[in-house]
Amino acid sequence: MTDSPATTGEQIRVEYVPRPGLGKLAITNFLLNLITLTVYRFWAKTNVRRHIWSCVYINGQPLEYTGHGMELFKGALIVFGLFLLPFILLIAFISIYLGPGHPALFAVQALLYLFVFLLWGAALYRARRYQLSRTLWRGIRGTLVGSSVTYSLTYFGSMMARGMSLGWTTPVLNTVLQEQIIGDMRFGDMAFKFRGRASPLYPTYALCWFLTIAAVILFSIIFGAEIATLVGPEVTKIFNEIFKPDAVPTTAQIWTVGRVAMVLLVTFIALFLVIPMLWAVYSARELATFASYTSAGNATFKLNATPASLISLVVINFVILIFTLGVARPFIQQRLIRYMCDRISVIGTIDVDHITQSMAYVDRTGEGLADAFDISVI
Amino acid sequence: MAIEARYFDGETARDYRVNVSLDANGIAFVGDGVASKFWNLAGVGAIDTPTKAMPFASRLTFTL
Repeated sequence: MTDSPATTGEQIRVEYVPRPGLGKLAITNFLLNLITLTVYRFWAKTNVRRHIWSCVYINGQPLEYTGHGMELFKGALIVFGLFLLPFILLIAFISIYLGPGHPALFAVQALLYLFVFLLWGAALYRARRYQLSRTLWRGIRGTLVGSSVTYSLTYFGSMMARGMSLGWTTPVLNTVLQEQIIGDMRFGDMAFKFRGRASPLYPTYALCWFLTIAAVILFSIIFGAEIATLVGPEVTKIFNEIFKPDAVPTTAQIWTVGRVAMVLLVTFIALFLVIPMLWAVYSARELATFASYTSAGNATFKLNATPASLISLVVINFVILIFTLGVARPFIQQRLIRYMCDRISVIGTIDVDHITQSMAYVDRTGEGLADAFDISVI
Repeated sequence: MAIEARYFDGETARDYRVNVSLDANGIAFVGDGVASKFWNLAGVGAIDTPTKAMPFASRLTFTL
């Protein structure tokens, strides 16, 4: 009797087993970054990845990160030489010979922004490909087999469409982008698949969108009410007077303007905190939905992402970042990976023994664009 | 003295159970589906530092 395909293979169990040494690594990285004026960041990033990867266990065997700081450094040098340096030289040339107000300067700057937006997706894709190609499990590495150019153009188009639709195309576009990147993902010769529609995301998206508009209106009303209570109807008159060219504001007027600015600041901070919390509802839904659309072998994925857990993750990470002045960034990265490991479950089996090594070309350098745009999460 | 270990050949993700013995020149191992192999110590390195979950001996890499 032979096993049916559904029962062939292993159940997959993912867990995060922390090991000591991350604190020491964080402090060493911080000090060496300081001494080398951040040039050490490539090696720092590599050391942190090596540590975090080695804490991720799949069926009792840890991941292994085989990247090198020098590869990241070379990647950054190539991007600097081929992409950033020509723009810097051109801008310097125009500023010196044609003057800082010359229209050509604005044209070059606009071109630079266009290139950045055009290449943003490529940077994400290439960084992911590099990380996968340097990630081993049981000696087998991962990769992305598609084109970073295709992904980048899709990404650029999606950014434009998102803006033009006031965000309403987001669920569709995120689904398309996720389908592209997961569809290109391989572990050895095993392909990942992504199949699903964006429609189940829309009710949650609509809820978050309308709640955001309501929050903005509510905070505007609160702001207006606070100003009216604190300062009264004189506020417009005071602002008109102090912004006159020859105005000499009195202490009382400066005090009033200060109070208005403070109320505005507090309202903005409150809004800044509330809106991401609202969108955590959508993010959790999207993460869980995308996980359920993903499959590999005879297995599908389930991610137990909830709005409360996402808010807690982000808020605590933010507090860690602020109170350690960024020194504890490796712990933030560890918390992100741990969140995924603790909450993901794999349903079904994967015939692990028959996965063979990836034959995909392995880049010698990596993540230059992602470093230039500062978009690498880990 | 031989100890039990897990071996990954880098060609498939199959988990081989092997018996490993260490002598002054290198590491010898053999197991079900794995022909007898000998790694000279010069090519052997530790992947990471030892922990309770993953002792040093089972996380070795060999470069040809």
